[in-house]
Amino acid sequence: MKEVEQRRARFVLLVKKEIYLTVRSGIPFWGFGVFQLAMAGWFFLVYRFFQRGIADLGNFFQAVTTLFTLLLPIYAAGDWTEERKNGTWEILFSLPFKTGELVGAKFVSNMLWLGIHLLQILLLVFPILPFGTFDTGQIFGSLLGIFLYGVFALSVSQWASTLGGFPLLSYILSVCFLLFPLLAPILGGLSAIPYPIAECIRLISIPHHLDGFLRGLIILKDVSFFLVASFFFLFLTQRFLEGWKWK
Amino acid sequence: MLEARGVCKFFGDVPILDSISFQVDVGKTAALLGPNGAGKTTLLRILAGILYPSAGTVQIAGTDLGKDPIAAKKQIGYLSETCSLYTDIKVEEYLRFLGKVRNVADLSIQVEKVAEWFQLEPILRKRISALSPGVRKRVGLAAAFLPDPPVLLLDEPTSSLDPEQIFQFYETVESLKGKKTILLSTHSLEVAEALCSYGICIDQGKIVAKGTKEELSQKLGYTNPVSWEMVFRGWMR
Repeated sequence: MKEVEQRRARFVLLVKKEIYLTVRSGIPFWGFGVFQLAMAGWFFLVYRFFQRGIADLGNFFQAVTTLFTLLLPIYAAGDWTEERKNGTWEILFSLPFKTGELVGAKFVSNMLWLGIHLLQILLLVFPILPFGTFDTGQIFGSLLGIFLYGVFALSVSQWASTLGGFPLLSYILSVCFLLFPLLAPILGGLSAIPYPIAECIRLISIPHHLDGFLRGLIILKDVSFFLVASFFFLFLTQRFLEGWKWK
Repeated sequence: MLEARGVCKFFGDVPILDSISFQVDVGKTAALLGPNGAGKTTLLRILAGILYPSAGTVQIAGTDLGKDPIAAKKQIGYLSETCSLYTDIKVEEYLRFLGKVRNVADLSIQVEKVAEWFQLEPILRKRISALSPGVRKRVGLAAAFLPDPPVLLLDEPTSSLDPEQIFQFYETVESLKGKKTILLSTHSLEVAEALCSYGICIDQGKIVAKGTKEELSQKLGYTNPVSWEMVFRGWMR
C-alpha cells in the first residue's frame, strides 16, 4: 500500500514538473491568447453570430474542432522531441518510473491546457446564453464532444512527438495525422473508392463520431471510439519509447 | 555491488558491446577505460537502465535490473556524459524534484550536503540555463549523489571541471570509499589513478582487461604495480 502511495506521489511530482516546464516555456500563454482571438474572430467577424439571429452554436463548436486540430499539437508535439533533442530523456529513463508513467504524466499535464481552453469556451458561450433560447443539451453534448476530441488530439500529438527529429516536424506530423480522420468523410464520399474501404474510412472519421455530440446526443459508441483511440495512441507512444531503449 | 553478465548490445546489425562481464564489489571504485567509440557510454546507459541490453543481465545492489527495473534504479545515481539538464528550472528546484522522486529523507539537509560537496551554494537559486558547462556538470554530479545511492555510475565526471573542482570531486569520492560502489568512465587516466583500485579496459565493445591495478600490472609482466596509464597503454597495444 505504501509503495502504491509513493508511486502516486512520484507521478504527481512528474506531472507538476511537466506543467512547470511548459509554463516556463511560455507556450500556454501564446496558446490561450491565439485561441481566444481565433474564437472571438470567428464568432463575431466571420460567422457574425449576432447578425444571424439564430440561437444555435453547432457551427461554432465545429470551428472549435478545427482550431483544436491546429492548436493542441503545440502542447504535445514537443513532448518527446524536446526530451530527445536536449538529452533530458536520459534523466527521465534513469529515474524509477515505468515508461507508461512518463507518458501518462505528460498526457495529464497536457490535459490541463485542454481544460483551460474549455473554460475559455465557456467564458465565451455563457454570456450569450441569455440572448436566445439555446439548446443546453446540445451545448453540453458539444462540450463533451470537443473535450473527447481534444483528448484524442493530445494523445496523437504525443505519439507524433516520438517520431519527429525536431518540434516543428512533430507538430506538422501531428496536424497531418489529425487532419486525415477529420477530412475522412471527403475521401469516403469519393465514388472511386470501393464500398468496404469507404465504410472503414467512415468508421475512423472524426466528423462521423462528433456529429452526435454536436446535436446534443451522447452515444456510447462515439464516446468509446474517442477513448479507445486515445488509449491506443498513448499505448503506441509507450511502445515507441520502449523502442528507443532497444535502439 | 554492481555486476554485468554477458551484456551484449546491437544497434541494428552493428555490434556495440560483446559479452561484457564484470563485477565491482561493494565499496570499490572502478574505472571504465577505453578509447572513443569503445562502448563505454552505451555500457553505462545499459547499467543505468536507460537502454536495454540485447543480451545479458545486470545486477544492481542485488536487484536484477531486467526483472525489477524500478527497484534497481532506486539504487543508482547516474551522471550522463552530456550532463543534459532541464534548463528552465533553478538548481535547487531541480535537486528537490529529483530528491522527492527518489524519496530522499531529510531532503533539505541532503541538498545542503551535496551543494557543499560540489560548491553549488552560490548558484542554488540560479536557473540552469544561466550556468556554464562546468557548473552544469557539478549540478549533474550533485544530482547523482543526492539520493545517497549505493551504486554510482558516472560518465566522464571530471570533463569541464577546473583543477580545483576536480580536486574537490576526488575528496568527495574518497570520503565515500568503502561505502559506495562506483563505476566511472573516463578518458583521464589521472582520475583513474587518483580514485580507482579496479579497472575495466574495453575496446570495440569487448573487455580487453579487467582487474586491480596490481593484477593487470603482473599480467603485463611488471613486477611492481605501475600507473593506470602504463596498464592502459600495455593492454591497448
